[in-house]
Amino acid sequence: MKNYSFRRNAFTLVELLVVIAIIGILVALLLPAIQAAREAARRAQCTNNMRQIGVAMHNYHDTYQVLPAGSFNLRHDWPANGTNWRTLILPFMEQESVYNELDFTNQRPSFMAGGAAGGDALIGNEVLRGLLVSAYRCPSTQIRPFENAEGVAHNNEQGTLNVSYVGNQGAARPIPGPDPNRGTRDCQQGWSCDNGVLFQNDAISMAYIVDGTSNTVLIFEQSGLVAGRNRTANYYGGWFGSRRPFTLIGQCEDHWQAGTTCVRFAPNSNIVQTGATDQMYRNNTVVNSQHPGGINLTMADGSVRFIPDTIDFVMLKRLACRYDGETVQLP
Amino acid sequence: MMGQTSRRGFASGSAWALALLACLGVGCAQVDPVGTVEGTVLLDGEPYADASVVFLSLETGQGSSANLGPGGQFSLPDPLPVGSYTVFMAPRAEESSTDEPQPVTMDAAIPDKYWNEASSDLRVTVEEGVNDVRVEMET
Repeated sequence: MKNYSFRRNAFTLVELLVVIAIIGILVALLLPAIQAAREAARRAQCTNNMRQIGVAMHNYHDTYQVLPAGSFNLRHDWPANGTNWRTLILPFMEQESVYNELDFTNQRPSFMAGGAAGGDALIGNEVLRGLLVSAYRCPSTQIRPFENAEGVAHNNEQGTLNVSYVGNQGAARPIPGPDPNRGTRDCQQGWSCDNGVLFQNDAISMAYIVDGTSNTVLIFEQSGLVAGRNRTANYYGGWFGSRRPFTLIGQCEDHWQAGTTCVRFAPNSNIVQTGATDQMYRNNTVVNSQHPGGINLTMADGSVRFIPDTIDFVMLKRLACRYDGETVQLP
Repeated sequence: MMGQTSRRGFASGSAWALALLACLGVGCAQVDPVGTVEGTVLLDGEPYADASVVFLSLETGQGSSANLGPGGQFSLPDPLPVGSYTVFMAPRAEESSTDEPQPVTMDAAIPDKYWNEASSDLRVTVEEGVNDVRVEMET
């Protein structure tokens, strides 16, 4: 009897193996869950960044009674000194000290981070070199903050920020609504648009968003890769503006820019089309992300939504266009 | 009482584990039907090779593109979800370009309407499996 109870104090080999196997299965189940939880946290941080941008846009609007221009250029001749909405809202992103150091009147191409700017690159705006505005970066992106992308024209030799968020120029034709061609035009660099909110060489107030600010996109996430390459709207670095000083209805020539995009393809598309998505300076760069299944976007009312890649594409175009007449709402 | 709850917890846990194993074995995702696309582009009946061809669905925004080979042949790199696609031409995609921005130049040999999805009247319905497509343009 005594001997028997002594034997019961030890585990048998089979019992040990069963326990080890169960622990193994549990760990195998847990590890992917940890990765998914980390990605969920990064997505939440990304959402928060986009919310901050939305609030900054509203504060800008409250101050100037108008939203910032999507991208602009004040000079006809090349090289130019233009920039985009990302610099204009810096004071409202708690980056006022940086903003105060910027020179918007310089006659040299001082928002360009390399390439044709040559020795003039960032002159007067040296503060932008290596400047990390963390609210402009999605934590999930695999694009390094100051990289000068290979295999595409980037011209970011000076190492300015690769921003993960891009302004909404509008929707490429055919747009939903009575006039499928309104507000979109091909000026040698893909469809340029002014039926969105942040477009070239012009600025609108919220009163012009006639579909309603909660039904119109302000900012898209653009933090992924297309065919393995960085093709985000960060040409000449994240702070460059328009090549030309023309609006959509002005002279139709060489309308390329950085900082905004016109929706032509589904989110996370893998389309490398010459003249539309292949280069960072084109007007139809794909909106994308590393989050599983979709991208974040900021609506003009400042709210942030996550939309799936499989969103009804016509609905996405309606959301991008500010006057299609349909007040579609995300569920 | 405690014993009962924990036993029920264990039972539901093993049910989950079983469901998960079943998923791993069978595959949980409901995959939409797709079709691969290859074919030839013709201009007035003659093979046309001096561009790339783009398939874009105006309903879903999904699409793909490929350079035209000699004889106007192409094969899209990605399978497309089944459905109706607008087909149009784009300038050839180069391997890599690190130049300053270049305006896009179109070949004047084919009518302007074929250069974008809004004016192109070429339609292709992609079905499940392999699709062999003849894209016929007319001047």
